[in-house]
Amino acid sequence: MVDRLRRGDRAAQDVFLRRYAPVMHAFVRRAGPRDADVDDLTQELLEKLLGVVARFDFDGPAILTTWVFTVAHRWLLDEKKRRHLQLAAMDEGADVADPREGADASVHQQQLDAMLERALTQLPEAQRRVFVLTQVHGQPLEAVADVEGVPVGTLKSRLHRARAALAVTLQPVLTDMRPKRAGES
Amino acid sequence: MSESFEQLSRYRAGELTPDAMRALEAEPGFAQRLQALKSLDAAVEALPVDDLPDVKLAALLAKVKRPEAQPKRLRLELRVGIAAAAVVMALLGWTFFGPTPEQWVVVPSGDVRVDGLALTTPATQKGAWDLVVADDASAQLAGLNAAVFVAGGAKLIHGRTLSLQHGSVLISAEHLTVGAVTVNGVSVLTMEPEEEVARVTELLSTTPSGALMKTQWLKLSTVAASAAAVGVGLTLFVIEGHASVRPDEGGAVIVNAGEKWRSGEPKPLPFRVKPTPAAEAALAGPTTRPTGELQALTQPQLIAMVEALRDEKEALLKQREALKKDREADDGSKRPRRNYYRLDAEELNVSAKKGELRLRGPQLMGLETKIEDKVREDVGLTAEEVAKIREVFDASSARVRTGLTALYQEMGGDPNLASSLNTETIFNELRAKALAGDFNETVRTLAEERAGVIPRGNPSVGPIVMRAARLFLVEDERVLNELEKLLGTRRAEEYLNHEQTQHQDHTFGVGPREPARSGD
Repeated sequence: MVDRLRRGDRAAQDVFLRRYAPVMHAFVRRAGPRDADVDDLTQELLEKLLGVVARFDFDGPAILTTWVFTVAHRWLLDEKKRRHLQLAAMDEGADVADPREGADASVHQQQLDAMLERALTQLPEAQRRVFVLTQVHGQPLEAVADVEGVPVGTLKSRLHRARAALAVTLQPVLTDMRPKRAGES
Repeated sequence: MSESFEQLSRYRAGELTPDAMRALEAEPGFAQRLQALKSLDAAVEALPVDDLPDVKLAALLAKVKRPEAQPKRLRLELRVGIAAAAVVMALLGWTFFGPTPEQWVVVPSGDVRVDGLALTTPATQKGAWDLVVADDASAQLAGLNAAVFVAGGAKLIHGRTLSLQHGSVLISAEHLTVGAVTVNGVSVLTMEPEEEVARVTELLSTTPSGALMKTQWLKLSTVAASAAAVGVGLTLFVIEGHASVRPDEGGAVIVNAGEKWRSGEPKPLPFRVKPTPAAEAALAGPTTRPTGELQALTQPQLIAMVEALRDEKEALLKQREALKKDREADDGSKRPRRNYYRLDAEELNVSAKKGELRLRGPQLMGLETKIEDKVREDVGLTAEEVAKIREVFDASSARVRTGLTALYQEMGGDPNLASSLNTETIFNELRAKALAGDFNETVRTLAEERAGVIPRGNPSVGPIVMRAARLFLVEDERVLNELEKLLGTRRAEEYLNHEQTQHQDHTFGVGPREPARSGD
């Protein structure tokens, strides 16, 4: 695979892009830029990844996905500085109905997702970035701490603060979401 | 309210003491808040990790510009050009660089990684990157209107600006900013000063990287003794010219030649070093003249210089040891080093309660077992013992890999693909494909088994991810037994807990089991 990428093999590039483009799009969207920038930024990020993936050592100890996220994380930090991207809450007008009120499970989940996404945008940038990387995308704390340039303990503190802030914001909904047992309607 | 949830989040992560946990559990509304936090975690886990519909994905992929492969002939020419330029750079020292410099990394020897990848020497780097230099290597950056020498064990990040994460660099520049420090002249920035004593002098006898490097590292070695006296934190030594520092708080600090500045200190202080007599003799020679004149040294002079530096290194090492002992004696609260030998009952119990499992051993990554000279010397390892230790780890590594590969196949994985993956990746694949909750249960169960809270389970029974993790525990015990058989208990512990013995361990923390709710 890496040899084909190194040779500029378009099919190999397609495989790589199809695997990572959707994930990177979600990551870029949640990591903070305005909605209008997400596609452009994702495109630039994918170009960056294509440019460097040939250097990834497939026989080495690193996992490709972790490495991709590390490159993306670092790139996004640099891009933010360069472009002075501002955090933007999602559409302020898009109030979501209280999911406790009679919606079916699927709609309920969609609404909760939307509320959670919106609450995420309201987190301080550093907290949000590490929360998204570690909790949503499952990246290792050590790798994220390394790019952030902070000790793992500091990163954990950010995560706890982020989780607490989200819990406070969403508490009215969350406290009514006890998992249903079998047979319970 | 937020603080309460923050504490609860730590509770979920198993980071609280038993007393703090009990206090939290006794708070009114504890169960309700805990449930809210669990619901939040479940909601986060349910968030989609990709969000691109096929149509939009196709449109995006169509716009992505693909890199073109370089024709082989061109790449060869490029390499030759880079090599030639690197040689010229090394010889010219700091009289170079055009108005729009390109960054170069020259690696005279050893393992240097850029963005996590081994660097082929010489090479160019553009844009943002991380440069990590192994302990026994060194690197030189050029093309920044400066020359930057990076000592072994250092990490330098080159994003929009340069920043030193750890280790030491020597900078010769008209105007170069690294983190909060702007250098005009020659300065040394170091984050781990006491370790530099050994490194910088070692470089002199191993680095064939040109006159400037040798000359400047020689000077650096003379300040290293001073560096050894300071604690961990950024320290700046200005050898020639001046440098300015922008601390987080307070105004800019100007540091002149012959002065040092430490993070947290309001103003610079003079530094003075008394080199050993042999080093002094070498320094009094041609090497103290301006840069670029090292070529004028005769071979006997060079030999004398290297010998002098070795003497100096010995003296500095002794000084470092003495300082280290003094510091440890002064600081009674210093945390003990992590134990890499047998975990005692208390450690195991704490891990079990926290839902934490430490998988140890070099076998996880399949790395070669390196045994440093210092370890051999201190533990008194014979060549035969070193070879046998490697055999123990290699055999363990092979057994783990065989076991994991079999589980990977059992899971439906392609054995051909498994053969191309490293051991850690196979384990992570098994973990990733585990059913929800299996991994958490694995961690808690194995931690409890290890602590003797519950009986040991059958290695061939249970979810795949549990059998995989159990392989590591079985091997951990076996390796310890074999090392003890080979070296005896005392030397095995001495070897494993030696400060320069390399370890690779992964700690998985999934939090304690859910506390039983009152009334359940």
